Amino acid sequence: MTAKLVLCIGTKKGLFVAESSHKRKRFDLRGPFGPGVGVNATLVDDRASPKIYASSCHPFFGMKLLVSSDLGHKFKETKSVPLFPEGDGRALANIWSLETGDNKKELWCGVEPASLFRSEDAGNTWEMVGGISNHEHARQWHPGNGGLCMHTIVREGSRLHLGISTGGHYLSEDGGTTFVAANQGVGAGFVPDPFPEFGQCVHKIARHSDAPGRLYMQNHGGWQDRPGIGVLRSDDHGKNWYSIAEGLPSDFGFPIVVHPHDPDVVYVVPLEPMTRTCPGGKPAVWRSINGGKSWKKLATGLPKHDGYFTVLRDAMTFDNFKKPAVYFGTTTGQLWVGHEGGEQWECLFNSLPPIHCVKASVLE
Amino acid sequence: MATRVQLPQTLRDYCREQAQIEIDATNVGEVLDGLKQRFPTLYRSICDETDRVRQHISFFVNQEWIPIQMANSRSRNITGDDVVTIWTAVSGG
Repeated sequence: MTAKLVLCIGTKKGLFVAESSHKRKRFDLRGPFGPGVGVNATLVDDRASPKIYASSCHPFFGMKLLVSSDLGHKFKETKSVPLFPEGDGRALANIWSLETGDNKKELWCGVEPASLFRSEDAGNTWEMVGGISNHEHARQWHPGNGGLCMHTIVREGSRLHLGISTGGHYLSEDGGTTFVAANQGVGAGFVPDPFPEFGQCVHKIARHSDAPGRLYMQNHGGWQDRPGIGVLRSDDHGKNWYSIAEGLPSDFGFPIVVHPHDPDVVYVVPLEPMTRTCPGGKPAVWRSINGGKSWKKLATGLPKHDGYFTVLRDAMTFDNFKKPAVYFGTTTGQLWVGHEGGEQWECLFNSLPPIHCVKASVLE
Repeated sequence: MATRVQLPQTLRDYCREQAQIEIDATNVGEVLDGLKQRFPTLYRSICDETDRVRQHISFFVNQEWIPIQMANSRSRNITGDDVVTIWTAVSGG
């Protein structure tokens, strides 16, 4: 059976699904699903019969979670969404991250205000994870520009890494029961203490299963008086972090992704920190092939000038073919694919709504 | 006598496609209570889990706009002759 490539593109106006063969020559687009409603998180769960999930963050009627069992031809709402328990006082404002768990129907979900939920039945019922949602720090976290969001869930065996803006990086080493703030070396440019215990504006965290203990982080950098806190790496499961930003034009950005077949190959999209757009109007992705020791600019095929877009934290991803392609979506509604490891860029879609998130999956 | 409650198209998926339902209520708060009991998913689209009415929802009793996000609005009395209309506010982007 021929493999299909499925791209899930969460936008300000709903979810789009693009499908292609392994050649990536022609993409058929369908959608928007959850029309008119912003999608901040999407997930392709290919552990059994493939399912596509998408948060549908309705400003009028609250959060919905959409699910498709036919590769994104039809979607329906799950039977429930994560809801704070009665008497908690918090109300679900957004769904920012969706990840699979160990068991076939297990899902994890990070929300705004920053809290974690877990489902054991493919999203039909949810339970709040008290170890982080009611952490002693939780009521001291502050919202960033995007809200107080738990945007990153990274699983590493019994370890669970969470990224919170602004809360920082939290680590569980017991499968998600208890959590500690693990931010040694993660700086902040907006509080008096340059290296607080928690409260950093982490933008994204990534890892590769072939490099146990290693994590990459795009933190909120771009501070002239506190340089080198934006692009970070940890080699001890996130307990200590150090800068790998040298050689980049800016250490501000949102996404950070790792090549699916090589833990030393990592990608970022540096942005000008004040405008949060491409420096000088010249978009470029930057790649390191040595774990962050050095960086190379990848801009062939991208606009040479007048490109002032933003790439948001979940809007960059890889497919997982043997020769994978990298993708990013922009706030100006363009979806780009980078062939040959990003050496050559091609615009797949030019006029979508502002893109919040992109996920790619190869399905048999 | 039951009060008629009219619902916007976008919420009718959650109440078996009914444009209008009837609820025994003597004030606006009891309308919400009735919705919560009979159509919990519909209710959750109108109110969040703290029971606050969502920001972009509008309530009318007949032609009168009710500032439903204010707690004291729930005590607004209604009779069986009144029509309560739940609508989406003009906002977006």
